[in-house]
Amino acid sequence: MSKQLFKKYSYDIALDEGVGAHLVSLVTGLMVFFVTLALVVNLGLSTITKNWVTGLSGTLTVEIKPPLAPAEGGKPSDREQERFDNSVQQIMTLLKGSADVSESRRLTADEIKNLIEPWMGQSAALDTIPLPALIDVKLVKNADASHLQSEIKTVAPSATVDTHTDTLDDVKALVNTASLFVFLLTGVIVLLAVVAISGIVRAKLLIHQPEVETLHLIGASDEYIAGQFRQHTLRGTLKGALAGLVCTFVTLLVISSVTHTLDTNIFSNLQLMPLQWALLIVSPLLVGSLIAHLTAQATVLKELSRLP
Amino acid sequence: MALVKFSNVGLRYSTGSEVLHDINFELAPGSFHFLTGPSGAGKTSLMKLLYVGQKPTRGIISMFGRDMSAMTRKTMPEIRRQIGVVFQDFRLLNHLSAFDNVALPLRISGLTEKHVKKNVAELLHWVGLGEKMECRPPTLSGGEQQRIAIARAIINRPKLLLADEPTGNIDENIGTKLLTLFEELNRHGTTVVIATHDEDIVRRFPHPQMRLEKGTLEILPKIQAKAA
Ligand SMILES: Nc1ncnc2c1ncn2[C@@H]1O[C@H](COP(=O)(O)OP(=O)(O)OP(=O)(O)O)[C@@H](O)[C@H]1O
Ligand SMILES: [Mg+2]
Repeated sequence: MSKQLFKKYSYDIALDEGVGAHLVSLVTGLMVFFVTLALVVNLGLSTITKNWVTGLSGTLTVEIKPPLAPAEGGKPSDREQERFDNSVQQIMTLLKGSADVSESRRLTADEIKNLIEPWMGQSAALDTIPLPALIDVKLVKNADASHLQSEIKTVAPSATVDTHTDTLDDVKALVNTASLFVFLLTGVIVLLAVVAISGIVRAKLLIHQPEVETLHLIGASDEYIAGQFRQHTLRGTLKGALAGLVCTFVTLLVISSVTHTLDTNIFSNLQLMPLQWALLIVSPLLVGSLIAHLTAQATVLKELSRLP
Repeated sequence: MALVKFSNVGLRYSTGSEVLHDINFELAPGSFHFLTGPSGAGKTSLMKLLYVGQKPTRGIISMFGRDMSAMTRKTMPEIRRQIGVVFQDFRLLNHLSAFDNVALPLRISGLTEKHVKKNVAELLHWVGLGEKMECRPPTLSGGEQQRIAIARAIINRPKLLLADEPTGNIDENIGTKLLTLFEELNRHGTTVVIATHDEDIVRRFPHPQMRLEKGTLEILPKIQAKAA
């Protein structure tokens, strides 16, 4: 019988009953959901940029304009074609001999067609229009890209060199802005959760004021009463945080399966170590319930000190 | 030294005029008093001052040798734990069983569950509620609720026992048994103050009266002494 008595006895104050009994769980759940999501998005973004940056830096592309075709159509003149072939040949020689270059390769006509196709469509025109020459260049570490660029210009003034730095800067700026936004959003969500939880706890204290007063009169200290709320909110916040976390991962799975067919799936790029996964799961749970819990506790003690 | 001492105590609720004026009295340790007076005279108000549920608007109250105006929030619970109160409206916690209601003062004092279980069960049997330990107060009769309130007030062996109309809801038989219990506790050293309307009880149990009339207190000796 003693076991039964003990099990039945939970709180002196009827915290589990009535309006708002599960609001703390709900708010904590929402907070954990958004914070985890923000964390994953941030991790994903930073991994993608890192991949792109390491993939793109250290490469450049040299483009030599195709030989001019006569206005009325048809093949370019032999002279034009020869000039074009010479330029390509000279640049290839330069690149082969440069100490800054580790690898260089001229793209085949088919490769170039594949690159252009998305814009032009698979039309017969592709076979007739003159194609430019594209040379993929991989640089050695700490290569002097601008020096190489000016060397290429002197050999073939019509060649253009794309060092991808513009693209890189754009991507970096975009990702930084997105990260900042996600962080700000997370901050706002946490702040809202703190305000909401503190409001809920205050309302609860008001609802249960007669019981709280009776406990005081019997000789309960503020800490004793706060302890009752502590147990209650801790249970509520843990429950909510867990639910929030589960929701996040379900959402991520859904997003991942939707974007699976696309090549831009961030999760294929998001390769985490087991420790990082553990951190990703544990930290929102811990931080979320801690924030909710401390808020509740501080509110209770502050409000109790106002009672007679 | 007096257990309780009131000097020129006055009480005024935020709404309205003064309900207690210039109250002066002392309670010696181990004394037993009835607090009588017509309805609205201020008996419950005086009780509130005694169980530290209300601060006086003027005057000095000292309890257990300490000036109550110097009490802080931190030291208040310790004082209150030495006082057992049967409230006029019981103030039971309705979502808790009879057992848990009576166990509250022990749990608040941090006693082990083993100790709690033994003491509470014993006392509930003693007040005749052994079969209803698991019942919640709303499912019990007024008299049964009152006995829970009394059990809760005395479970912790308080130095000062205050009861506001404790015989209001119960038949004469149990009323007599109750007063006998209070006298028993009093013999073991508990100081007792019982607020009551019940002239019959005051007559049958000879103890001095503190009589309130329109907010002013007068101490009357035991009825027997008056008759002699
Ligand atoms: N919380 C309160 N706020 C304002 N006035 C109050 C309050 N409590 C009591 N009073 C007033 O104080 C006066 C004394 O009330 P009190 O309850 O002390 O009387 P009582 O002697 O216990 O009466 P009864 O025998 O009916 O219980 C009454 O006029 C009442 O209206
Ligand atoms: Mg009264």
